[in-house]
Amino acid sequence: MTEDVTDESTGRIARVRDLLEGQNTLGNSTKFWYGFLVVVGVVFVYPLFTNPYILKVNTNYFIWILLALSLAVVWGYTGIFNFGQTAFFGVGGYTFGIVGITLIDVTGGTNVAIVAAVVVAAIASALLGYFMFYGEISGLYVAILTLAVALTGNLILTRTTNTTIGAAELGGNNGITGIPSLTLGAGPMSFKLGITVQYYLVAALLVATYLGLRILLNSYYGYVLLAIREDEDRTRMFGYDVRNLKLISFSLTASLAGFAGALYAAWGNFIDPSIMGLTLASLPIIWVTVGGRDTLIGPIVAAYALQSMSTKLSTVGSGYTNIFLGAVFVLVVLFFPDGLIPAIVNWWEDRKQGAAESDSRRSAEVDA
Amino acid sequence: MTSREQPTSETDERLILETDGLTKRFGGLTAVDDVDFELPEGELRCLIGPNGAGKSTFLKLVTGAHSPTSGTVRFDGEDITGLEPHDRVRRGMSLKFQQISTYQALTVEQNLRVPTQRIRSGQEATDRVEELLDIIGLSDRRTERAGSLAHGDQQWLEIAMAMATDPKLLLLDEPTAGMTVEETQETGELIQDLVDEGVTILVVEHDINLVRQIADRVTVLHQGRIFTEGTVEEITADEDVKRIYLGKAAEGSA
Amino acid sequence: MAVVEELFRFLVLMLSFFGTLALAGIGLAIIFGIMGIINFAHGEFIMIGAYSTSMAYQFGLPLIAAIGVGGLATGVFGLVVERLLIRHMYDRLIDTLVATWGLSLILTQVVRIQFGGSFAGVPVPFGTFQYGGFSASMYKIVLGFAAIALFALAYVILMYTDYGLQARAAMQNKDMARSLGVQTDRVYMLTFFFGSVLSGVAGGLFAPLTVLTPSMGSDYIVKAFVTVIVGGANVIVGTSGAALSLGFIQTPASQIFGTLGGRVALLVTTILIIRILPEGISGVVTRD
Repeated sequence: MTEDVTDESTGRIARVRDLLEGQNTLGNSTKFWYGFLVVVGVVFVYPLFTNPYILKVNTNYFIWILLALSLAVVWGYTGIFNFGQTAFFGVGGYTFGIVGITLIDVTGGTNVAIVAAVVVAAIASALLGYFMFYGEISGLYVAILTLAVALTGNLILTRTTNTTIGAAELGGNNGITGIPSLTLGAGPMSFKLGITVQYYLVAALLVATYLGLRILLNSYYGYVLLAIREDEDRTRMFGYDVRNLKLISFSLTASLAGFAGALYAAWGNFIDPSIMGLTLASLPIIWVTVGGRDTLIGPIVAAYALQSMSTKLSTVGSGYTNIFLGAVFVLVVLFFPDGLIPAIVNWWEDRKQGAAESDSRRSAEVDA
Repeated sequence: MTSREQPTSETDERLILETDGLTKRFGGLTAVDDVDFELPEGELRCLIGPNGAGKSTFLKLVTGAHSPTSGTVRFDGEDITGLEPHDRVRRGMSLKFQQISTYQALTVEQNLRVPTQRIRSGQEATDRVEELLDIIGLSDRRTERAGSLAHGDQQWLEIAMAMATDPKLLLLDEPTAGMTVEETQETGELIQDLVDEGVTILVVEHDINLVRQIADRVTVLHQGRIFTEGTVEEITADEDVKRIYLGKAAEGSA
Repeated sequence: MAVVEELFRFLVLMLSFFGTLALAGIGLAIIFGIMGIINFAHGEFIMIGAYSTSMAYQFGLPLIAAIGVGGLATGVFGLVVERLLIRHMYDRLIDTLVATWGLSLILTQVVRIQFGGSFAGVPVPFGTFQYGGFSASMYKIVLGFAAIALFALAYVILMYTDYGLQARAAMQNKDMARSLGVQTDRVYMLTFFFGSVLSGVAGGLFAPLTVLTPSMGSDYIVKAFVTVIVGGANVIVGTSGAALSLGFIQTPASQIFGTLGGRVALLVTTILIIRILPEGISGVVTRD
């Protein structure tokens, strides 16, 4: 804890790294952070050299990544099989749409709408979570019940033709159109965000979320969540209120999903019931499965890669995207049950170790 | 308030654990039947009995995994019968499960961190984890996954984890199951060290050699009731105790 | 007469809800109860049953035989899935879920590419049932009795065949059953086949009542899920009890709030029930 006065900035960096790093997340080397800075640098610089369409699409991918991160924490780190995370994403999106349209003439209305989206997602998830976790049902039931909630939500939303809440027409299968984009600031200082600014905002939110989750996962709560995932009974007998902690994890991550949903509605100025459908519900599960459940970086990479591949595939022929995603699902689970990214990391480390070992063997042979 | 004297106790010893008419029925089966059990502070007590005597159920009633059909559990002077397991633990009891229940996929250090951080934070927690690693001799294997440790090491890790919350009462459910004679001996010494530090310990055990090595007093459960209670010498010399053990063994092999 | 009419209306509606829930759930429940895994492609198994029933019917078979073909075709398909996929993950429950979910995406899409957005339906047999001012499709009543018949069949198979005995042993205690010489691998394979046949038969029975589309499975999967959650691991008593009690809730809810209200009531009831009965109705039956 001795601080070098002559090199205060190094001390500060060390303290920040101390918060961000730990055994609970991947990427604790100086090399990793250089790589991280390079990636963030690219993300923030390349808009200068590209067109608005690409920015628009990438903003969408970043929103998906937020959804992927929310699932990685609740499923990968806490061991709660929330297969209906898109229900809360959809709740956030619809709430943002309804409140945003209703307050469309009020300055700062979209800020209220964002807060409303998060609050409604938090309340909805806390209610569902209370019954699941205080009822102490088995993990498999959590999986199918959360998905049933999403699918029933989808059903309800498809039957909302001619239904109006506030000033918003829910529009049944057609969804809500005319959802306002984000507006930052309030009163005379407010301004509507264009494509580029929106891109920067979402990118900044993503970086902040990633770093924030790393701090959380390497803190007291990170250890508790991992412990709950590994063995609930054992963790309870260390004095942790497992039911309550699961509820908190479930509800917080659902709120993050709701937040992402609000960004999504603002991004496309549109949301429809398919957001809670079966196909969309499977997407975050695929990202997290492929990327590796108990990492953050894995789902980020997988969400980005799989979504850009899907976009490319859908231009080749409609319908093949789902077959591709389904096949990825099945093959990864069969051959890389821990996910692709951890598999690659392990392979890399084994190779390095193998190289080191064969080096030492060679020198041993020379000695002999 | 917690230091209030127990009016029921004949001696001046403070009771850390006390059950009164504790009964648990599963349908027609009475697993624990009207048990009045007293454990004074600082004692090392062994709880023995043939299979199906109600030892595990009794332990679950103490930890709150089961709620009793009737009767009360008092811990450190307070009635805890209605409390959730985690609340009981927070009042200063700790349990080592019978089966291995270290966090298999987590490292040794992470395993110790989980219980330690509940009562300590920052540097203090780090120091305590180091200390525990040192006690069980796993300092240089801290980054290995608990699941990859040998059986005996995992048992020790578990005991260290149970100790990490600084309990007043430590409940050990068959702490030497699956250990070699040597490991059992060492575990016995470890348990005695803990008693010397002032922890009250209740051990549920089959291994009579371990009971001989460590126990102050022994309580024998049979058919859900307290059959007898006494020093190790008294219990091992008791013909009736031998009879229930042999009787049960004969039934079991039939 | 109005009271009797209302009563009839209620009973017929309840019988058809019971039938739908039970049929949607029974295949899933058999596989869950005995193997402990959830087949996420269950809805698509129902779809395959419905499609193959319709094909056999168009080919000229009578409906009942066509449903038999649907069941068998789905059973064979289930067998292939079990050999290629499921058996590699017997001890990885969540992986099975995820893999079968992937399978469900593939199946829906392949069927869509092969057969387009909808498929030739099957006409509703048996005409209508008439009492006073009340009339209902006779087939919906048949659906309820068909569900009861399938439960009876499943009961007989589980109680009185060699396979049933071994399946029950594996359900009680897998390791014990194995040490007693039960080939759990074979039992699981047969169980998956059996469950798939039941799902296919259910799909065949649903075929006359619904529009056949590649995504029709997602219509039934929620019903199957809530039935299995409320029922728990006990295949016969739990699942039939769950279908009955959920049908009992869904009937007045759909009469008062419409079809959507009935479906929402199913989910809300399930969420409320788990707080009290985390193991479903099976938990009550087996509690000692």
